[in-house]
Amino acid sequence: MSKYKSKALFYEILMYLMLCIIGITTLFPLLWMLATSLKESNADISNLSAVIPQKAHWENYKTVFAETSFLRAFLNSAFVTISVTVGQVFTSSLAAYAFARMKFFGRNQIFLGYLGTLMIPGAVTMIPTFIILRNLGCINSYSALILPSMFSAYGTFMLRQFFLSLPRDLEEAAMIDGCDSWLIYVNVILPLSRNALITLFILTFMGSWKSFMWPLIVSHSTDLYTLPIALAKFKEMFGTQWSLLMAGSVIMILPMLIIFIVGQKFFTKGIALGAVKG
Amino acid sequence: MISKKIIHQNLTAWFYLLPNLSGFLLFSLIPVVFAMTLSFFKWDVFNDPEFVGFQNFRDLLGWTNTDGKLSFNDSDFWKYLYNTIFLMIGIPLNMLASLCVAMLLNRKMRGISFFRTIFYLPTICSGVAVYVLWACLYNPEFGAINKMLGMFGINGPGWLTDYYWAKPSIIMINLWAAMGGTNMLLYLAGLHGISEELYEAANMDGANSFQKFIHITIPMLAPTNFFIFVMSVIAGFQGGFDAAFILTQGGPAGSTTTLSYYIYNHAFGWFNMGYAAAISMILFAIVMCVTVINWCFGGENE
Amino acid sequence: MFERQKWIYRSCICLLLIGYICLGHYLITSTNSYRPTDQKKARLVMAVPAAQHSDKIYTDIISEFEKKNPDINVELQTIAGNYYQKLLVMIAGNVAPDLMWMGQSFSEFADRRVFLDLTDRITKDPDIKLDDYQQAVLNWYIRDKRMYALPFGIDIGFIAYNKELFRKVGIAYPSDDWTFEEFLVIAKNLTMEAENGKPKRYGFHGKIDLGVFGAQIISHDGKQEIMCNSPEMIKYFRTNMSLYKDWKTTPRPQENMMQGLDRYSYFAQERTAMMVFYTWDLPFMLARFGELDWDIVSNPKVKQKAQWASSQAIAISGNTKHPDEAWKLFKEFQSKEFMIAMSYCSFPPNLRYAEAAVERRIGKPENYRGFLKMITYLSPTPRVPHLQELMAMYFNASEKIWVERATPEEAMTRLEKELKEKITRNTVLKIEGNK
Repeated sequence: MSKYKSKALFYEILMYLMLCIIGITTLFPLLWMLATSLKESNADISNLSAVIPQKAHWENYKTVFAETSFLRAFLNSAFVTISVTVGQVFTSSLAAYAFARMKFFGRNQIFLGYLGTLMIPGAVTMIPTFIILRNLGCINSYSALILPSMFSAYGTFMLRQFFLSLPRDLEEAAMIDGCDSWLIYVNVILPLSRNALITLFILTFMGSWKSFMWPLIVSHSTDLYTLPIALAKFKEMFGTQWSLLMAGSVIMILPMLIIFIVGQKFFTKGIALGAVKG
Repeated sequence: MISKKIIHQNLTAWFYLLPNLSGFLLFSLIPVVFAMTLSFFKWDVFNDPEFVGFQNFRDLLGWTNTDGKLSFNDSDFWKYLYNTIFLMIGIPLNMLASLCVAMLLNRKMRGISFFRTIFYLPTICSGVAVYVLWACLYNPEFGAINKMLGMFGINGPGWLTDYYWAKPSIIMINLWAAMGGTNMLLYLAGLHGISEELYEAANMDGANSFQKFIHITIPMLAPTNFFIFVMSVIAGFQGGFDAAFILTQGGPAGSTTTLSYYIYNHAFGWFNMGYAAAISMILFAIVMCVTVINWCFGGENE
Repeated sequence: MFERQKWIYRSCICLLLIGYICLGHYLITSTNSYRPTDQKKARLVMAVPAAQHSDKIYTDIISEFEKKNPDINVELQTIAGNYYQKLLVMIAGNVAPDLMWMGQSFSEFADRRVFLDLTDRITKDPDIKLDDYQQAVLNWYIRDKRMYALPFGIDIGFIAYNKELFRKVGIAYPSDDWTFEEFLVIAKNLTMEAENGKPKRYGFHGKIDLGVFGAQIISHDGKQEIMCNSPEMIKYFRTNMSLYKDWKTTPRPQENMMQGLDRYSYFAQERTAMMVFYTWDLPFMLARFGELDWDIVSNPKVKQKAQWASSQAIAISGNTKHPDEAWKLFKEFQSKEFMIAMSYCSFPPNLRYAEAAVERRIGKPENYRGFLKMITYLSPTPRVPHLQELMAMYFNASEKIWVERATPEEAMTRLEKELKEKITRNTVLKIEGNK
């Protein structure tokens, strides 16, 4: 009996050890980034023994904010990401509701078209979208950053599958009470599908925050740069001053990190549950 | 025969559909048709387009046979296609790693959510920042990785500046970032769904852990596996742009250029719009074929 | 309780909505292009490559200009990374700047009829004396006998050397007319081995420029003959490879190409005795080398004397809405003050101002006067149509040689064939008028 217990204990310790090792490999680069960002501007970063800097040079962060418009880039990113996410969730849920619950002319054909575009690589639509926006005079403006990403077939697809799986009793009860489709949508469907909506919200938010290639093509004034573009430009200008570069990276990661730690429960529960149900 | 009710239903439906559909038409459907037509032209944005028929595709995919030696018209294309596929080796590696981590976390232990938070951190950190960080870590002269290897007496390779190590370096970055990420959460959710009874029945039959893994865990996770695999492959064909742009600008002698970076260069670097559209059409065809094949394969399992 | 929760929930959403609308309003209205155009003020946009030290010079000149001309508002756009690519995308997207910095990719833009023809304005202007300019550099901005830009700086590649190390080893400093043989002896003597066989200090870091070998990629005379598959080019590759492989004075060519290599630290930490730098590095060198005793010298002669060169100029967009105001700003960049201010990172092409800059120069490098001689034998990258794409193909081929995936002969033969095909295909494209 005790042999079994000690074997189980041995396994427990082994599991903990492996988890710790994986945790260290995951955390080490991030901690290194933080440590390097506090080193002196032109120090010899190669000296490994000086991984932990003697003195924390917080003025690196001040330099980064002064030399580039990181604050503006952050506000831009926030604005664009929120617009894209809210827009996408809103329009996708409306369209998914129509696909799932309403009969109309051409419903299945159009939905098949949506599915088809899921497979289209971004590179295919990149060039024509650029030309279309140019002819509308929108290049180098917020509309170019927000509009193309606001419509997603993936969101519509996922939400439609989810809506289809909802039981119809509540809706039928509401219809008997005399609610029209809009009231049903707001009061019945939306509350029930909270998990799926949150999942879509989170996925779109992260995707839009990280988006690099499209803003690279359409944003040309410094006023319009989003965080990834600002960081890339910073790297091209100050590339060899690593402490400043790492400070810039930390600034870029920090907001997402804070949101994540605060809303942890939403993240993990939302993604797992939403995906399983979907 | 069309009653008022049906008209009313149709109108309401279209009203709900309109915002999404208009965006879909303007930014998905029309661009695709535009790209298809553009691939038959030669266009330099600054001048007028010129119709060339299949010339772009011939330049892209064709080959010539001179003096018995076979030479491709655009050997770079095949090389970059190879690069793109090579970088997708990371997909099964990522899936395996995520599965292992999920299995490690799938037990009643204290501090599970702590570990889960830590493992999810790299996914939260945005793509560009992660690449900038690893560019510094991989630096052959001053980076932390070569310095650590140096402590053990190993002379580290040039990583991102070395022709043979550039792609594996990028695969490792992706592995680090995706190990404890969304895939792991999906696997965790899937593992929760496997009922304990199956494992107990297997225990009674005298199966050891490895057999349990092969015969119970993996088949029960098939839908999750399939979903992750299809999404990863589709994303993999289109990916690699951020890494190529930030880390290596296409890599030592073009070893990290992927198809999407190649398309970007032709479209917005050298303004060969028609040629770039042709490449993107080929990419589209490849992705469609792969998805269809996957669907046939995966659909049977379901 | 439930009611209160609902109200808190609703008020949070309202607050977030208000915050979002305010943020959106602030961001959109503070973007320059949305500012209501003041009828009296003309708005000019000027694009230059982003660089730490020259940004300040531009902003100073622009603010002085705005003070002298209160009815003109100028916005400076600094573009980092591949400047030409990003500028072309801006022009293709109909958001072209009014004035733009122009360097070696001049032909890419001139062919696309992007520029305003400045010939009449230049010849009629009393303040601009074309005879004072270095004629070769001036010709780089002429297309079909019309002028589209005027240079304000010449960028030259040179070799910087560590005088302290020379004194330690007991070698005489190199003179401006040294030959390759002398260079090789010096480099070998300055290389210091370490225990594990990897050199602790290299004699030379960089590549000997292809101009000194007499090699060219494409002919400069406008006929666009492909000359990359010549014995001179092969010798260029072989010699530079030998510096690494046979004589071990230079690190692996791949390390030369490394991004993120802090070249200034490399030199300052005395890991190499001689290193290739460019005029735009000079401000960084002054800041970072500190107490180090260094100086500059021209390239050693192999077949001829040559220095890689490019230039900096300003051009005006053909689509500008304010050509006269743009011309006024343009002239500021041909003034003596500006050229001398820029002279510490780019040599003035106006020879009178260049003399003045050399006179006024104090401090390192002591051989700053050497630039005056160097500009007599400049070897620029060819200014041909579709330069970006052709150079990308050349770099691709040469990278293959440096990583030893192909011999110089193979790579250059293939490159010659590909370049010929590319040029014939490109000339099929009809260039008809402006878009």
